[in-house]
This record gives sequence, C-alpha cells and structure tokens, in this order.
Amino acid sequence: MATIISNIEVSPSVYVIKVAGQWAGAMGQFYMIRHRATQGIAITDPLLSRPLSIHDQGDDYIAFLYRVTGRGTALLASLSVGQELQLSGPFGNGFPVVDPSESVALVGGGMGVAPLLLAAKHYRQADIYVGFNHHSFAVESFEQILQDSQQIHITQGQHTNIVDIVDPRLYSVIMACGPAGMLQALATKIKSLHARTLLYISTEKRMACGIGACLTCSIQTVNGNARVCKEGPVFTAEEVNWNDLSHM
Amino acid sequence: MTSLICNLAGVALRNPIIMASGTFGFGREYGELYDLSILGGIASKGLTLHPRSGNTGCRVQETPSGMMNSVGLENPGITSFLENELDHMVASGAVVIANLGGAHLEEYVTGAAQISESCDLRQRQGQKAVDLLELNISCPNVKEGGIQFGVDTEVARQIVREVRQVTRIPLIVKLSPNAQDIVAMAYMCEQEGADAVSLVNTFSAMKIDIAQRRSAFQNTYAGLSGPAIKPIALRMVHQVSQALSIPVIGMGGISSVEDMIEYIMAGAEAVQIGTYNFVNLHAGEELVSGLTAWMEKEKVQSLDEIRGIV
Repeated sequence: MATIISNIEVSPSVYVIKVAGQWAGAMGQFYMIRHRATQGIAITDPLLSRPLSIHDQGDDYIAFLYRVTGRGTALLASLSVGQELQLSGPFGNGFPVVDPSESVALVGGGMGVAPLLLAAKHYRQADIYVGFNHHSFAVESFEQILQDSQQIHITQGQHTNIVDIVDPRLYSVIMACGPAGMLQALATKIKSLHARTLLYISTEKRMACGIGACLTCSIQTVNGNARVCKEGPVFTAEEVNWNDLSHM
Repeated sequence: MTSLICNLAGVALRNPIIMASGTFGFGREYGELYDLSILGGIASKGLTLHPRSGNTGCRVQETPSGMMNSVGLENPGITSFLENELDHMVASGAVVIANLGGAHLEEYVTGAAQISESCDLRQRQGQKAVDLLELNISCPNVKEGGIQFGVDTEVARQIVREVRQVTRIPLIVKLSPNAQDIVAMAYMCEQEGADAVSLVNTFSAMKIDIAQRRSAFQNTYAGLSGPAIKPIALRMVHQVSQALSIPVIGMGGISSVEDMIEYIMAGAEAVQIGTYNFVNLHAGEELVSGLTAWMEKEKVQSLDEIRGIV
C-alpha cells in the first residue's frame, strides 16, 4: 500500500500522482497500479490494474504521469491526498544504461514524455525533445533538472512534429516514447539520413497481469513474439514489427 | 485437524486450489512472487501440437467486473513444453496439469499421444511427469467451419473418445459455457471415460469500438471471464455436479474465499483460479491461507462436510 502525497492535474485530463515511500525501479520500468482493496475485499470494477511507467522517483516518493482515458484512470484522478494505492512492480525492461561518452537524445511525444523524466535524470548530458498536439505538460519538471550542457526542444500544436527538429546524426543513441507513428517516423528518419544512431523505443499495449503470464501484451518482433511487460516495454527499433505496433 | 486435501481421479492435491490454464503461464512468473508448492495444482498454458503465435491486434478489453481476451492460444508447442517447461512445473511441487488445445481432431489426438508417451518414458526413468491432462475443447474448429468443439456434444464425443484411447494419464475435460447443453456435454465426457470435468471456460463475448466502428477484436468475438460470469458459471457447476459421478472442478470469476466455498457447496471437488491472478498477483497464496482460516473459523474439518450441500 502507498499513501498518496499529491494528485495534481497538470494539463486538461493529465495528472501527476505522487505516493510516499522508497520504491525500486529504473528508467522505463513500470508499476501495475490499482485502487486499494476496501476491508480486504477487492474492488473488481474496474477489474484490471493499470500499467503506468515511472515518471519520477526520489528518496521518499515515486510519481506517475497519466491521462484520464477511461474508468480506471478516472478513478485514479478522483483520489486525494492521504488515500492509498496498491502498487506492484517494478516490472519490465526499461531504457538501457549506455556509456557516459555516448551522445544521447530523449524524444517524447504526448504521454510518451512520462518515462523520459527519469531517463533525463540519469542521462545528465542528454538533449531532450518533447512534442505535444495540444497542451504541454511536465515541461517544467524537465527544465528544473537541466544541466548547462543540455538543451530542451519543445513543439506544440497539431501541425508540428517533434521528429522534424531532431537531427539523429548528432546522437549515437536515441531513447524515445510516444505514439507508434512518431516512433516509426523517427526510425525512418534515422534510416533515410544513414545515421548510425541506435534507437530504443518504449512501447505500450493493453495488458492484464504485467508479469508475463497472460500474454495479452504480446507483440511481433524479428525474434518472434515478445511480451511488452516482460521483454519490453523498451525494444530497439530494429526488433519490432511496425505494422503490428501501429495496430495497438 | 483441518484437511484441505482433495482427490481428482486418484491424484491427491494438498488443497483444492488450482491455477487455471492461460492465466498462470507455466508458473515461472508467479514462482518469482511466492512459493508455488502451497498450491493444489497448476494448469499449463493451453498447449498445441505446434507452436502458435496467437492472435494479432488487441488481445484484452475490460467490461464491468470482467475482462475479454483474444490471446488465441499463443504457446511454444508441446515439444518445447516437454523439453523446457515440464521439469520446472514438476519442481514447483504442485500437481501438474497439462492443458491441451487444438484446431482439429488429429491435432488433439497426436498431441495427447505425444504428452502421454513422453510421460510414460519419464516415469520409467523414475521422473515425475504430468499428473493430469486437461482437454480444452473450447477452441475454434477450423475443419468444422467455425463451430466450436465445445458446443456440439456429438462433435466433442469423438475427441474425448479418441484422446481417451491414446493416454492413460487421468483425463479432465474442460467444458465451454457456450455448449448447447452443458449437462449433456458433461455426461457425455463421463460416458467416454473422462476422469473429471472442469467448467467453465470463457463465454463468447463482444466489444465494439464505436470510434472505429468495428469490433475491438480482430477475431470479432473474444472470451469473457472474471467476477461478471460467476453467478452463471456457478449455476452450471451446480447442474453438472448433480448429474455426474466423476469430480467436477469449478471455475469462473472466483475472487475470494467465499467464492470458492460457493463452488464447493455447489458440488465442486476443486476450483480453478483464473482472471483473479491478474487482479491480485498473490491470489494463490492468499486464497490458500484464507481457505484454511475460514475452515478453522467455521470449524469445518474437511471440505467433504460442505461439498454439494446446496
């Protein structure tokens, strides 16, 4: 059980929920989150836990960025300070740890910025690119941790695309999270520029258990099926089947 | 002294709690969370003769107190199961149930024979093998033009009969709630030599994505499970228990000790926990300890005292 410290709407329908405690986890990993049981009786509607990637983490808290899209996230948004959440995790393979000498960029689109804040805290030399169709969010959090050597690029509006302003030739490694179309556009751009950039993407698919048992989150890869929750959510762009990803 | 032991075709389970096929993998993932030897049994992921990659597109959707899945029997195939998973399942200490799926009659029969031969060999070598075979007749039947094996009693009869002939492993037949007459289906299984029946598998269900104006699933329909189906599944278990002499394993939406007790009072020898494993990753250990506590509180020494009393 985890006590909610804050649950703040940072943009229309987008919230950051922060809970108390020391929680394990690395950049790109996720937790399965649900409302706590009441007097030992499990709440079964909504039935399944919600997978949320770790947005931020400190010595005495962990935070998750989420958008209200259905009953589960609406319930999450209704919770207030002092109430409790049930967290299971951390699960999945997150973003890789690469040599500090590598030039790294972090690219996020919309809710895809969620796991990148923790990555930005790890990669203090990384440039950051974040794009939003409508309202921006979490930008202040990125700005607060920026080092002098880092740059943050922001696009906002439906006619802009964060991929357009990324020059992959400047980076040996890019870590990205966002809509499948954005991720594929980034992969295509790397290829068309003949850049030797290694692209890691964080994927998303509906899941039930979060630990690799139910197989509801399987995706197609060049090595056969892989579970987003177990082998993922982070894969290299070369591994995944884009046609499959675009049908999530 | 409270006893939770139950018996399925001569196979003793330390308690009546079995983890249902398709919700527990081969036990590896849950085995990292708790000691699986406390469980009565573990049913493997649905196995087919050859590896299957399963369905594409969305595989899970929620409904009030339920979920629909369209995994499509993704599994590594029987050969890989025997080579890579069986030892691990045996080592868990729980009774091992191999769940067998298929797309056509020959696949079921060949698959059952392969598991059976491999287990005979293991036993000759002094190794523990599959304790029970669970025949899943709820898979889509390609040759029959989309009719599910589990719907028509006479179609199912042929599979049960032929599988029975190729294996001496105690045989459970897992029934579909979509059967035209589930009591007749269960009775047929008993007639054809099944040692037990388990019910129910998922209900054929549907969700429409109104924004896309199409089904949420590429296969149009999906299987509904979870607490939403419990009252209907319980009724079916009650009906079947009253009609059969062989043990009935009840399942469908069990999410608490009280749910398990209901199934046992309806006549179930054992129960299977499925979707609740997703809701509560520690469901197995919590239900085992909860059942023991309930029996002590209610001063029930053996589940036989309450089994089928309704």
